[in-house]
Order: sequence, then structure tokens, then C-alpha cells
Amino acid sequence: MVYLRSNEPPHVAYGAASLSHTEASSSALTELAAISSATPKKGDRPIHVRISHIEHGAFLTLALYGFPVLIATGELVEIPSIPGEDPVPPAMRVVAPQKCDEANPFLHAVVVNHPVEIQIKNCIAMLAMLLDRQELVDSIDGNSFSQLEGFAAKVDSKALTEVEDLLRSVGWREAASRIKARSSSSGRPLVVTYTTVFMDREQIALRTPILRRVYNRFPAVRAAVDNVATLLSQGMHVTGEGPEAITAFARDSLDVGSNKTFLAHFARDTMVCGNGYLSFGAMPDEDTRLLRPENVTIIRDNIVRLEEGGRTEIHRGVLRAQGAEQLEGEYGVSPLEPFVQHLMEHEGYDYMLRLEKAAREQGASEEVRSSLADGARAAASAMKRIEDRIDVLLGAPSRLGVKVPPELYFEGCEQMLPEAGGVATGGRES
Amino acid sequence: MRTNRRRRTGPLVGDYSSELARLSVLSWLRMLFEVCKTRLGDRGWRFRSVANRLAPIPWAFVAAFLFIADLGHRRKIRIDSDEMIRESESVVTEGPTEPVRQGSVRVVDKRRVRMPEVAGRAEQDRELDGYQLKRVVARIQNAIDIARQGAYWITGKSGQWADELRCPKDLSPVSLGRQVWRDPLARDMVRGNRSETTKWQSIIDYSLLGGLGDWRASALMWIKKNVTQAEISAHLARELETGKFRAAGEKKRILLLRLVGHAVDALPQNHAEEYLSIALSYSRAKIDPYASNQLVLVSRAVAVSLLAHRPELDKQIANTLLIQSGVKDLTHESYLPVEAKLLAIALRSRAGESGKVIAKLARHVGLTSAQLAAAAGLADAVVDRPPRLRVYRSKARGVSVAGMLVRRILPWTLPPLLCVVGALFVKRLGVSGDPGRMPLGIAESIALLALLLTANVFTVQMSATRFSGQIARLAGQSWTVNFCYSASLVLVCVSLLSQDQVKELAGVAGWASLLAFSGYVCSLLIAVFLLFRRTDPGRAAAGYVEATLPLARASGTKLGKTQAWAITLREALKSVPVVKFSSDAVVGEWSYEITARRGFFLPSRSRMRRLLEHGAFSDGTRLRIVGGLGTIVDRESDVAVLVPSRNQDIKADLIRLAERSFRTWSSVEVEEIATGAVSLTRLMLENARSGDVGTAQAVGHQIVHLMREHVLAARRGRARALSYEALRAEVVNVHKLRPESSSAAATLRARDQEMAPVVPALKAVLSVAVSEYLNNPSDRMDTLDSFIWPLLSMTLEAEAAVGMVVYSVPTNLEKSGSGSHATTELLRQAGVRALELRSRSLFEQVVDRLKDVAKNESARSDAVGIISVLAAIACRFNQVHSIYAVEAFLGILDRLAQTNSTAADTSRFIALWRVGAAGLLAGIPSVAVYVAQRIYGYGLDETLIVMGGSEEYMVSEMGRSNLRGMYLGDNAMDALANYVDFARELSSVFRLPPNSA
Repeated sequence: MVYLRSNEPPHVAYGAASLSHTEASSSALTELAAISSATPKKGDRPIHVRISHIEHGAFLTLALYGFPVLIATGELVEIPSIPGEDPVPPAMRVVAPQKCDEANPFLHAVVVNHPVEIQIKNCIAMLAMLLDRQELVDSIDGNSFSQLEGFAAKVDSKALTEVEDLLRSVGWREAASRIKARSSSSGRPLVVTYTTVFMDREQIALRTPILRRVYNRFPAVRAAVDNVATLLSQGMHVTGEGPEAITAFARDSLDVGSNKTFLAHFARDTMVCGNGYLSFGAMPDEDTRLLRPENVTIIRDNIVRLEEGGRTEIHRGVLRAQGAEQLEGEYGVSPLEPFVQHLMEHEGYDYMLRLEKAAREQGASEEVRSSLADGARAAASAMKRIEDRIDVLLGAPSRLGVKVPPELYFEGCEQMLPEAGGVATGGRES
Repeated sequence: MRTNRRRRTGPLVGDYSSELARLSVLSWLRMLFEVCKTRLGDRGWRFRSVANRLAPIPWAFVAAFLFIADLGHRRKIRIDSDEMIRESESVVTEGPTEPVRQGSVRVVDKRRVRMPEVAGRAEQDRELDGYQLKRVVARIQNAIDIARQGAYWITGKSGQWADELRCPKDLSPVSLGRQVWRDPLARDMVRGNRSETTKWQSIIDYSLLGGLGDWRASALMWIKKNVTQAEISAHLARELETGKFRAAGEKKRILLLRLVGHAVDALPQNHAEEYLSIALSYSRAKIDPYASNQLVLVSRAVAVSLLAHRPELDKQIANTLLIQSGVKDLTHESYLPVEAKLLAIALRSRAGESGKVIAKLARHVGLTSAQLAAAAGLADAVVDRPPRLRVYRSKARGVSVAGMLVRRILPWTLPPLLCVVGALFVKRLGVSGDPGRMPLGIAESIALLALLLTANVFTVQMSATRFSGQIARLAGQSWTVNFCYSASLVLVCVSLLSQDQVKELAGVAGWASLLAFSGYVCSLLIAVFLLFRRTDPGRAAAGYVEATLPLARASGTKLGKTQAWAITLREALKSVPVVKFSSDAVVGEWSYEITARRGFFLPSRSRMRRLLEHGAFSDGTRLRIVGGLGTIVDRESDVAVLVPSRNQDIKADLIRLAERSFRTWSSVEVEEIATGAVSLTRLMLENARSGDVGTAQAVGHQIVHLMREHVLAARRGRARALSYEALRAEVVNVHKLRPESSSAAATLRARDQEMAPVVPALKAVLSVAVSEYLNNPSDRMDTLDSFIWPLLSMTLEAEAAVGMVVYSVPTNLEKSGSGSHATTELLRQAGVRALELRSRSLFEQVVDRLKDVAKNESARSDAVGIISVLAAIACRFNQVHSIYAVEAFLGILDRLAQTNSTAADTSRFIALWRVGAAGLLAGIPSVAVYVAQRIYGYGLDETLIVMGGSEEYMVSEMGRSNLRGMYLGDNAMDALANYVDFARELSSVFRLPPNSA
């Protein structure tokens, strides 16, 4: 996660992204990508980075300037089962930064709502930290692996300070050139591109089960999404002129047809999966239903194709919404993307805790138990840190004093399904 | 509209699609039309009307093309067919001739018979049949072509029919045409009429099993229009009694249930009960949001419809709930049973009795307080309406412009014209007795002009002793005075020209001079009388407003455009990394300040672009903008600051460029309107203070008129500029970057719902009026109702008039000397306007201000009373606002209870009773239930019994309600008594058992 110290409080800098601002941001980052990108030589191991813009609509904290995203491959990875526990379903694979290639680059999302100057700073800092971290990973030996987190934090802090100094003294163009030179000389040249499309439909669909797991696993994220769903659905009211009966009919339809509940699900799909589709059919008061985002292909405007259970249906009159918007493209991105990496770490630590518990219960040797106990303690504190970080990352919706009604969602649909069995970068293919 | 057009042209396929595709030029025309509309604004209606009339022309061309093509095609087919027939006939004639009869013996002339042909006769016949078949096929094809062309014809209509639910929306025009051609039932539905041969029951089957498209909605609409409730009821009875309903498939059951909704009033009691029971049984099923839930959703709608129209079915719900409570303990259920939910929704249509029914159900079934609150919330029957703008219908724009031209131009042009034309006419008639010599010489003419000047100056001076100079000056202007000036100038001219013995004037000058003199005398008399009358304040104000209105409108439009451009420019500059906005310059910063002249601070886009392209900015110079964009800045005040980087110096050329870029626009007209309005307000208040209420009100009406025209013009100008900007955002976005959100943001602004920079005149007038109203204990004129309220009610949220009023109210009344009654009444009016504007933030500002006012001990009682009145009024707008206000006054009274619990209890009960009764009456049981809960929570149930029967209090409350917005309706005493019954009914829900505490 890339934070950058700013002299301005976030609420001053964060603003609506107008067309002119979007164009200015887009051209600035295109130039930055061109300046900082190096040409790989023979024998180099290039790091492919793709920068893009998103707008999360203040769902996340306003102090978030950008975040990395690891590409999902759609492959399933088996997680070794813990003795005494039921076998767990296979996890979904994401590509680690050091394994990124041209086809699966390292993605970095920049929040378009911030001033262009801050966006530039954020990207340069991200590139500097990426380089430093790769050098750290290359240099570290197996014994110091448990201290990796501490080293990484130090490296990040150092990189940030250097970038701040560089920007102040030589300006951003020169700072970007120096990063390019450094990456070329280190043998890990950065190949940086900028694109207005952050993710395509296939990648968004692949990530949907992972994002559902984020919602199901983190109570703070769940609360924030539910707050948004409550605001969007329950606060809805009908305004109209003309005969009172017509307005009253429209108002009653919201409740009789469970439209408010459908809207809550729609809002949840939008915020969790990045895209929500509510089909009203030929007779909106009886045909209303949601479409699973991963099975939908947009044909045009409000016409979509649903491919589900081997059947293909064309739905007209579909209400569409996007969670976080890309600069270009019909599909939205989930504002929960920054939490995927947290989920992966959280599940890793959770696995360690369960392993230690199993060792304790099943009478493992003292040596094994003590080494696992050390790891479990570290994991517990790391999990706490992750939860704190999640709280910080969540924006205004998590702090709204919204009273979530007990029947916000339909009975039995409180959890989002189908979800991924987990997220992992390594492991054996299933 | 644009979308409809696209939809109509979109699905066209077939032979003529390429021709029709050219009609995409329509979208360009549409674009042009939109631009013109934006440019023309309100005057665009005529253009729009013409454009709408022209829209069918391209379709007419298409139709003509199709018709000609069809004719050609048919002709070709006919020719082909005829040729085929002729060919076949020729084959026949070349065959065997008619047999020759000799006697009765049939003789065949075999010499003329070609043997092979005779042998091939059967084959020829078959060929002939083949030709006939081809001919039939050709005719069928022709018919199909016509049908297809019919489909094209109805292309223009299909969108409209789909909107009217006469045909499916998902059917292309070609398919619709085919369907209509083939099926009489489809034809009936599209026509919307019932033909004699049509059996309406077959429409149901057709909608379920018919051809292409989903005809359910069309079938239902058709049945609703063409079949009586009695017929439907009889059919439903048959379906139920013969068991067909149970045996029917799901789709048919859904349609039959929908028919129940249409015939709900005509159903016999037993059938209604049975259908309700069926609907309830389906309603209880769980809903899977990712699958079809048609039967559940329709069943719920039907159950609600039955319960809304048939109150006698309520007991069936109660019984169902009782049966369920026998099986499971409902009091431990966190969710409200679906039957109770459906009844609560149905009660919205029976708003008058909703509270009573809910209370009875709660007691009968034993609902918990949470379930009761949930049911009451569902039964709330608030219907939201957009805020209304109270403006009088003014004269048509054209009439007012014509009037202005007449008043401005004619008085100056008419006298010379009349004199010349009249003199020539008289000369042409050859009237004897020509004045011959001039009646007036040059000296006399100048003396007359001097006389007029003296009279004018004297009357203006006379006015100026009573009014401010601006009013006196403009009140001293009249069309008659101008006419008089013009006539005297004609006199002078004629005298001068006659002195020079101009040949052409011989015989005419005398008559011209005479006519001018007559005009001068008449107009002088009228003008003097008029100007003397204008020494009266009311007439002077009217004269001033009449003379100023064109300026008020023009300056308002300019102000509105300035506001809009300020909004867009600020947004554009925020994206520039080197530009920062701050409220003031940093004192002591190493920088160069740019100062301004007085006027509107609004740099142009092009100049700003030129400035920011300067090389200094790419080398590190920053621009800090400290002046408010779109506001009037003072002379010599800082508007922007150039901040160089550490190794830079600010060059003279950059300073010059910056100073040129930050030039201000003249604000003289807007300030003139503000000054004049304030002068008039002072005049009004002086008259009111001296007891001349009638004159004060007359002046007040003129101020409101002036303000209305100015503010409306500003709003029009702003809306026009913002909608132009929205259109521009749509057109300029060639890269299609985030097209939806950018256009949506621009459209949102175009709706004019955001706060705009203030209108200076409105702010000044409101400030003076509120200050006078609060500090003058003897408000004889009723300034609040006759002056402040009209100003509030002609503004929307963008003008922020409510906010101006709220923040001009002092919180420390003792220090400011404002009366508590006046203060709270002023805030009440502001609160009512905030409610009308549906603005939660404004309403909360008002209530919070009242809470601040209540900190003054002397004003506490008034403040609590007004907050509770606002809570009662808010029941008709939004229950959330009402509950916010209830919490506010209960908070104030909780503090009072620490010192005087008895007084606090009495005040609490009275205020709660007021709100509860208003909530129950307005059909908002959630507020009524909430208030009842608070009454029982505070242990005021004894007070409920004692005060609930107090007629004296009821009468006084009725008076209060009648004077403050009729929040208890026409029968206030009934409303109060009903609430007491309602609250008593709920005692079993809210009264805690003695040991539960």
C-alpha cells in the first residue's frame, strides 16, 4: 500500500474528477510512464508495471492515493490440509510481483480524484519502493524470512524519503529518469506502461469470487458495504408531481416488490464485485432479478447477455452500476481490491494459527510446538495490524452512523456466494 | 427524446436498412436542435415546436420511398405474372384447335394436330399449374412485402405503443408488423380496442402461448381497458370453483392473480378471502435474488391490493398471525411476519385509519415494540413532491419587451414624426388660415425647454427630500417627461430652421411648430401631475421598479452566467497542479500579489490558459488564487499571488500577463440593483415605523417584484450556462473518458441544485429586513409574513436564502435585544421553507439554531413550542425530520427537568401530544408510535389520562394549529382525541410490567 505524506489534509486535495482533470491526469501519467520505462537488455529480468486510474467514489479513505493489484490467473491451488481438520477447498492463484511478466503485469491503480501533482508523486514512490523491495527479496536469505515484514517497512520508509527529497530538489521528470537509470543498472528494468483500462472483463470476472471472500471474511469491510447498501436502498424515496395516486403507487411498489431489498443486493454486488446488474424484465413488478456479475457481458446500454448454467439469455432494461470506475471501459472495478492482498496475508497467518492449534491438540513434539507457538504469536499480532490497516483504509461509509436494518438482504443471502476457497501466490496446482 | 429516436432507428433491418441508416443525420439535427435550445433558452419553445413538427418529414420521405419501391415491385410482379399468363396462353393456343363438328360426329382434323404436343398435353397442364402456383406464390410474396413495409411504417409508432404497453418492448418493428399481420389478437391489443369477435379469455392464452415477444403486459393493459370488473370476477370465480386455478401452470396462475388485482372491488367476499389466502400462501416463500420470483412478487402485490381495498379482510391477517403465534412465539422473532408487512403496506392507502388498525393488530397479536415500530414505519404514507417555487405569473416576455421599447423609444420619436407628418398633411389638404409666421421664436422655444427642466428638477428635488437620490432620480423619469423634452426640442429645431429660411419648410413650419407646442403643453401637464403623484412613496417605488426592471433582468442574467462560469472555472483550475485555492494570501510569503479593481472576479478561460502556459510555471512558479471566483472583490484587494520557487524571480512580463489575466468585470449594474433594493427596503421600514402600513406594504410588494425578476433572471442565466456546459462536456469528450460520470456531474449541476455564489441584492435586502424585524418589537407591518416569507418562497436551495435568514438570527437574545417570539417565529418560517425544499441539512440548521436560542432562559418555552410545531408540520414531509425535531425539544426539556421536573413533564406531554396527533392525522404512524413510546418511556401515561380529556387545552391547541400551518387539519380536536385513544391502545405494548425494570 503506498501512502505519501502530504502537506494538505486529504479532504482539501480530494475532489470530483472532472473531464479536464481526468485528461490532465491521464496525459501526465502517460508521460511519467514513458520517462521511467527502461528497455530490457539481454539477460535482464524486467518488471512489467501497468499504471491506470480509478475512482472509488470515496468508499475508501481519501488519504489513499494508489494501491497495487495482483493479477488473478483463474488457476486453483491446493492448500495443504491441517491434520484433524476437514480438507479445505482449493484457493485461487494470484501472480506475485516478482513473477509478473508482459501478459500478467504488476498493476498499480492511481486514484484520479487527487491533484495531478500528488498522483505523480505517488507513482514515482511506488516505482522506487518496488525496486527497493525487489532488491530486498533478491538479497534476503532463507533464515531472515520471518523478518521480511520489518525489512520491507524500513525499505519503504527509505524509498519514500528519497523520493520526497528528489521531487523537492530536481522535479518529477528528473526523479523519474533517475529511477529508470537505477532500474536499468540493477538488472531489473522497469517496463512501465499507462492505460486507461485498468482491468478487462475476464480479469474482473476471475476476481469476483475472491472479492466475495473479502466481504465474507472481514467484518469491517462487510459493515462498510452494508452501510452503503442501506443508504442506497432504504433511503430511496419517490418524488413526483401530478396525481398523488401515481406517486403513491410508485412508492408502494418499492416495498411490495421488495425493490428496496433487491437494490440492497444490487448495491452490495456493485461495491463487492465492481459491477451490479438489476434486470427488470418485461414486467418490472414481477420479473425483477439480479444477474451474477461474472456471468454478464454487456451488449450495449442496458442490454446484457447472461451466460449461466449452460444457457444464454438476453436481458433488456437492465440497471447497471459500477463500484469503482475505470477511465475507459464498460465494466467497473471493485473498491475492495486493496483488501485482496490483506486477505491473502490474513489467511496465511490464520493458517499458521490453526496449524499451531492442531499441533497442540494432537500432541506434536515440543520443538515443533515451540517453533509454531513463536510463529503463531507473530501471526496474531500481524493479523491485528492487518485489521487496523483495513480500518484505516475504509473511508466514510465505515464511519457513517447508519442503522443497518435486520432485513437488509433476503433471508439466507446474508453471505455472498460463490466465494473463492482462498487466495495464494504459490502452492501446487489443483 | 434522443434515446427514443435512437431506439426507433436502431433495430431496423432488411432491404431498406442502408437507406434508413442515413437517417442518422437526425441525431446531428437533434444535436443542432439542443444547441439552439440552449442558446435560445425560453425562447426556444417556438424552435422546438417547429423542430418537432419537422421531425416526421424524414419518415415521410422513407415512406414515400417505400411506397414507390413497392409500386415498382408490384408492377414488376404484375408484368411478370401477365407475361407468364400470356406465355401459358400462347402455349394453349398453339395446341390443338377446337374440334370441328360435322353432324353429330366429332371429327378431329388431325392434320393440324402436332402429335408431340398432343402427347405432352398433360405435361403442359402441369406446367400451367406450375405457373399458376408461381403466380400465387408471387402474390403471397407481394403480401409479405406489404406486411414488411407495414412493419416499416409502424417503426415510428412502435416505440410509442411499447410505452403505452400496447405491444412488447423487446419486439423489433418488423416482427411486430408480422405478428400484427398474422394474429387478430395481437392486432386487437395494438389497437387497444375490443372487436366483437374477440373473446377476452383468449387474450390470456395468447399472452402465455402466443408468438414472438412477451405480450403479458399488453394483455393485462388490454383487459384492464376493455373488460369490466364483473366479467373478470365471474371468470375468476369459475376458475376457482372448477379447480382450474389450482391445476393451472405457474404462468397462468400469475396472470389470474394479477386479474384478481384488477377486479378486487367486484369479488364476492368468499372469493376474496380465498384469493387472499392463496396469495398469502405464495407470499411466504423465500426469494432468491438471482432467480425468477414471479409468483411470490405477484402474490404479495395482490395481497396488498386486496387488503388496501377490502378492510374486512384485516381480520384474516390477524387470524393468520394468531395461528402462527400458536405454532411459534412471534414475540421472539426479530423479523416482522410477511403478513403483517403486507397489511402495513396496504394501510398506506387507508392513511386515515392506519394508526388505529396497527394499534389494534399489535394488541390483538401481541407484537413487540420493535415489530410495532417496523410495521408503523412500513405504513407511513409520505408522498414526496418536488419543491414549489411561489412566483406570480408575470407578463409574457415579448409583451414586456415590446412595452419597454414603446416606453423608451416612442416618446422620443413620436413628436418629430407627428409634427412633420401632421404639417405635411395639413399643407396637402390646403387648409386656409396657415399660421404663416412662427408662433414661437427661438428665444421662446428655449424658454419652454428651460421651463420643463426647472419643473423636472423641482419635482426630483421634491422627491429627493423624502427618498434616496437613486429612487428620486429614477422615479422622476417618465415617458411623458421624455415626450415633453422631445416636443420642446422639435420646437427649438423648427425655430432654428425657420430662421435660416429653409425653402422646404415654407408653409409647413408654422403647422409643425403649432403641433409641437400643443404636444409640449399636454405632455407637460401630464408629466407634472405624474411626477407630483410620485412624491408618494408607494408610487415612487412603483416608478422606480418600472424603470429598473429591464436593468434588473439584464444584470440578473449576467450574474447567473457569472455564477455558472465561476463554478466551471474553479473545477477546471483545480486540476492544474500549479494552481492552488486558498482563503487568503500567506502573510510574509516570498511572493507577488496581484490586486484588483472593484468588480466581479472571473478570469476568462483563454487568458488563464495563456497565463499558465508561461514558462515560469513549468520551472516551479505557483499560482495561489485567494479571491472568490464569481464574487465581487474590492478595489486594491488581493485576488491572486504568484509564488516563485526558491531559485526564481518574478519577471515583469509575467506580472503584466497576470494583471491582464485577472482583470475584473464591471459589477455596477448588479450593485445598482442591490443599492436600489436596500433603499426601497429602508423606505418601507420607515413607513412601517411611522404607522403608514398600507404604504409600507405597497413598497414591500414592489421590492418583492424587483427581487423576483432579478433572482429569476439570475437562475435562468445560471441554468442556461450550466446546461450549455453539460452539453459541451458531452460533445467535447471525444476520447470517451468516463463519459457517464462526466456528463452526469455536468447534468447534476445543470439541475441547479448546488449552492451558487450569493445574489448580492437578495442578501442585502434579507439582511436589512431580518435585522429590522428582530429589533423592532412593534412590527406593525407584519414584516415576516408580508415581506420575508415571499422572499423565502421565491428562492430554491441554490440561492441559500434560508441559510441567510438562519445565520442572521442572534443566539444571545439578551445581548442583541431581539424578542424571543419574533426570533422563533422567524425560524419557524425558515424551517417551513426548508421542509418545502426537502432539504435535510437546512431543516437541521434551523432546529439547531432554535436549540441555541433555547439556551436563553426567556426564550426556552417559545423555542420548544416552535420546534414541536415544526416536528408536527414535518410529519407531512418526512418522518425523519419530525423525529429529529422531537429529539431536539426533548433534549432541551431534559435539561429543564434537572431543575423543574413538573414543568418539564407538562411541556413534554403537550409537545409530544401535538406531534403524535399530527403524525397520526398525516398517515405517518411511525411518528405516532415513536411519540407514544416516548410518552410511556417518560412515565406520562397518567398525564395522558388526565390531560387527554382537557377540552380547554384542546381548544387552545386548535387555535395554535390554525395559526401555524394547520398541522392538526380541519378537525384539530378530533385529531387530538384520536391520538389519546391510539396511545391508550398501545399501553399493552409499551407499559413495562412492574418487575421488569
